[in-house]
Amino acid sequence: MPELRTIVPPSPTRPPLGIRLLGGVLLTFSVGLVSCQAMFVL
Amino acid sequence: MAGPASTPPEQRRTLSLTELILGVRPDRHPDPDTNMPARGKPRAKGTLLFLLPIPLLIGALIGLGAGRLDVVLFDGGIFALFMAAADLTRRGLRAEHAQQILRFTRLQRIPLKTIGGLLTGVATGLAAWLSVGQGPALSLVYATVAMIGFHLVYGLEPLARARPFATDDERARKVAAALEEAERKLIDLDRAATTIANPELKIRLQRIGSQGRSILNQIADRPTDLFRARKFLSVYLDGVQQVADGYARTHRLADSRELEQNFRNVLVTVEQVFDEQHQRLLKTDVMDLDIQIEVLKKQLEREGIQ
Repeated sequence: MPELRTIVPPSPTRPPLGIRLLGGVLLTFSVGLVSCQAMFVL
Repeated sequence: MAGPASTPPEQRRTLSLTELILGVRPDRHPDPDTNMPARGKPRAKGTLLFLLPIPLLIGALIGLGAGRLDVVLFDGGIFALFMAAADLTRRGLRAEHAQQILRFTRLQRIPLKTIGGLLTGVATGLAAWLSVGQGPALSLVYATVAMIGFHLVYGLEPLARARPFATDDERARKVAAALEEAERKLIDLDRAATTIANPELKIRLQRIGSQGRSILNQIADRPTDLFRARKFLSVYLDGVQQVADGYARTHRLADSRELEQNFRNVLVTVEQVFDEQHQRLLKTDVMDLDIQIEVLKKQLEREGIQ
């Protein structure tokens, strides 16, 4: 019988800080910008 | 042979003063053997997703003041969609964090983070289209950028649900099922520990949980150990889980010193039993290795290799 530990899938790891920062910028640019534009529409 | 000297220090020591005063948990740091991550709260909480759409709420209030029902409905509705997405993402992050300390159980069945990411994209697109008045193509670009950003910050779950044991071996599947059931009992034990106010008893329960995980890892390493650990899985683990649940339920209602002392005695005994069980499994490993070395030596001698 094989060792079961070897076939346990690895836990997901967090992306590196640079990638997360880039993601944060993209999120802020899209969600934040659209929200602010919506606020100033009137 | 494994002697007392081979006992891991984690399992040999009693509760330290620091642990009692500060409530330091024994499994705070990753275990180098099991590579289990530290517990605590997840680092990413999805706060950004709650903060970024706030201007939409302000826009809805401004629309209300200006008597523009369409603005109130669009901005308010899209803000609610953003909040739902943020909440799902936060739940998904928590579930993912809880999953990281589990090896044999898959708790999460719904990809909450992925749904949260898709909703964030949809809400961004709708905000650009309906609230701001951009064209459909540009709105789609905004939605795509939001989803890419979401994926980079929080990550989307894989489409296929992860199976803890991708094996076709029938016996291995049985062992996997037994390990999963045992791990669920350990999860219940951890839950019971969080509701107990007494720091000493809480730490003892957490340590028992940690010992239990070591035994499960040992069984995962050598599935044949399952048959040696049957009593541990079926009797002791069940027993301690039921007692801990019962104590967690009743100790607030009936504050009895006798009950507390009895519970403490049970926990001390269980700690010893779990430690012995782990040592027995390790000892069997060493014995098996001794036998294999002996067989190999005999074989080499028979073949004239010195």
